[in-house]
Formats: sequence, structure tokens, C-alpha cells
Amino acid sequence: MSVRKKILFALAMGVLVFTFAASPLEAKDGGDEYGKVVKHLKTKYRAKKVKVPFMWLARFAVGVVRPGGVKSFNITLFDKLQFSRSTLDAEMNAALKDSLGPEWSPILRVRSREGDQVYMNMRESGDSVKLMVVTINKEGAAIIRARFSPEKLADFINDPKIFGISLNDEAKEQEKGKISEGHGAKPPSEPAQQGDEAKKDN
Amino acid sequence: MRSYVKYTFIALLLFIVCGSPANAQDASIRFDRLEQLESKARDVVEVNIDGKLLDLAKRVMVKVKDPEAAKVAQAISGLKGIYVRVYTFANENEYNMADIDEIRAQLQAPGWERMANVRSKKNNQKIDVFTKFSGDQMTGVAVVLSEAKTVAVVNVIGPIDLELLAEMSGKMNIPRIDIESGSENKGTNK
Repeated sequence: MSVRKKILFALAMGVLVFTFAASPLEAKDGGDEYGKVVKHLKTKYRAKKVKVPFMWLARFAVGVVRPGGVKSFNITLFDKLQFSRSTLDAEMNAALKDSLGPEWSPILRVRSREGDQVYMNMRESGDSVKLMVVTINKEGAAIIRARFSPEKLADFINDPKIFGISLNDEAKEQEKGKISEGHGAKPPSEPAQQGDEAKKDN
Repeated sequence: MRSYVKYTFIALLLFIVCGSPANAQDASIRFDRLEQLESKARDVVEVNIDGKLLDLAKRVMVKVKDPEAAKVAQAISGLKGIYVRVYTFANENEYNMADIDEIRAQLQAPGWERMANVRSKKNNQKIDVFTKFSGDQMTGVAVVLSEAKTVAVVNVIGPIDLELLAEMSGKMNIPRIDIESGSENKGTNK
């Protein structure tokens, strides 16, 4: 096995270890709370879980890249919920109180008689913040949990970058301007060279 | 003599450290009476932004390299909490006015001052803005709005810099506020 292959193998093993080691840690660190809320919707309202393709990949990517300071997230979607509009809010309040514990703070609660509900809760966890959002409407429900670092979020606001690629509109426009300037500087009599330069720029 | 000065200094420090939050806490409204509106209301919105979330917002705002964000951080630096309750009803006068008057009665306590009130026959609208001061510093604001189909109560606890708020209006998703001298009476429609 060549040195290059050995390095690639070691990297692949590292990624695998990270993937499997990170998941139980996440479950221990609040996954249970999330699971309880998911279970409540699934059992109490006989909701059908909607599969989100490549969710594992998205979660893994977020775990590695940590965009905007988001360390981890989870989304569960349900449809065909069977609930009573008159008791849904009280049931959800009780379920969230039981599942989340006293360290969670309710930030936002929206309740409509039509059946639309939004519950947003937050808690601090070391240097991170955990956020849980539950939305329910006539058609379905979504449970979103995210853990993020406020400091990294501020850094991201200052300089929005993912994998070194700037998401800042101004920076993008500046880059575009540089490219167009580069094109403008080329003499019109050299079309072949111009094409090569454009390829290089891209 | 020296120890007398020292203890006076310590007592003064304790007063400053412990006294400020207590004053700020006094500006909080008890919402328990409004819970009776819950069952009657068609839509309910409840917002609770207190210690943890405000600290988080401060932590983020302080780090953001933007002069406007720095001003927002300054504006919220002393805030202890922001609480909002909005109840919308399907039909007119579906709620008991006594429940709202109980909130208004809380704001008759010493320290609270009515800054503005609007009474309009259209939709049976009543808006009251109350402020609480500790010395020269505003330590709380309460807004009570009742209409034929809507009841809303906003309670902000902590020192509020009105000049800074006016300066920040229309920026960073803060709604535009037109504060003019002597404008309080303009909106009044008795």
C-alpha cells in the first residue's frame, strides 16, 4: 500500500470513527428530549413519519463544516396527524414540559384554533445553545432541533463563509467585478487567448 | 473612622448591585389573569424573551463587527425581559373587559406613569402606554391594547434608552418609530 493510499485510508477511517462516535454523544446530550417529543407526536397523533432523503449526509456535513456555528441538527417530518383542535395545545404544552425539563425556556408559542401551532424552546448547554422548534398544522408537523455556538454564529455573520467560499453578496460582486475587469482588459484581437484566460478565471 | 467609610462603601456597592435588578423586576406585569382569555381566543401568540435569550443576543451582537449591531447590543444591554401576549377572537367582545382592566389596574401602582393613551370608537380601541422610572432611568414599559377582537399586552423590563431606540428605528429589522416632541396628543382620539 502506497503512502498516499495509507493516508486516504486513515482519513476514511477517521471520518467513519467520527460519524459513529459523534452520534451516541449527541443522543446523550439532548437526543432523548428530542426523541420524547418525536415519540409523542408519533404515538399520540398516529402521525406518519416522512422520510427525508440523504438526511444522514446533511447531518454529517453540518457536523463537519459547522456552517454558521451550527454543530448539529435534526429534523423529523410527520404527516397525517390525527388530533383534536380543542385539546392539541394543552397536550403539546404538557408533552413539551415533560420532555424538555426545567432548563429549557419557552420563547415562542403560537396557537390557532384552526390547528396551526408553533412552539420554540431554548436552553444553554455549555458554550452552545440548543433550540427546538415544533410546528404543527392541518397537514403535518415538523420537529427541528439544532445546537449552535453563538460565538461562531457571530463570526459567520461577520464573514459568511462555507469551506472558504464567501456567501457575502458584496464579496461575490467584487469577485465578479474583478473577473469582468479581467475580461475587459483583454485586447479584442486575441479571441483564443481570451477564452483561455476565462477558463483560468473560472 | 476608616472602617466606617469602608462599610459605607461596601453597603453602597451592595445597594447598586442588588438594588438595580430588584427595581427592574418591579416593572414586570403578572399575566396570570390573561390566561383566562386563552380558552376563548381563536389565536394566541406568546413571546418570552428573558435572561438567557437576551444574554445570547448580547453575546452575538457584541461580536458582530457592525456599528448598528453595536448600538442594538447597547440598547439591549440592560434589558431583563420582553414579554408579549396577543389574543385574537373570532367575534367582537368575546372577552371579559375586567380581565384587561385588571392588567391596567396593576399599572396604577406607584412608580408607573401613563405616557400615552388612545381611545377610539372605531373597533372600540383602547391603547395605554405606561412607563416606570427609577430616578431618571426608565426601568420598564408596558403597552396594553384592547380592541373589539384583539387584546395585546407588551411588557419590557429593564432600562430603555428611548433616544437610541428612535435612532435605531427602521434599521436591522427594528420597526420604524416616529417619535416627535408633543406627538403624544396627536394620536389621541377621544
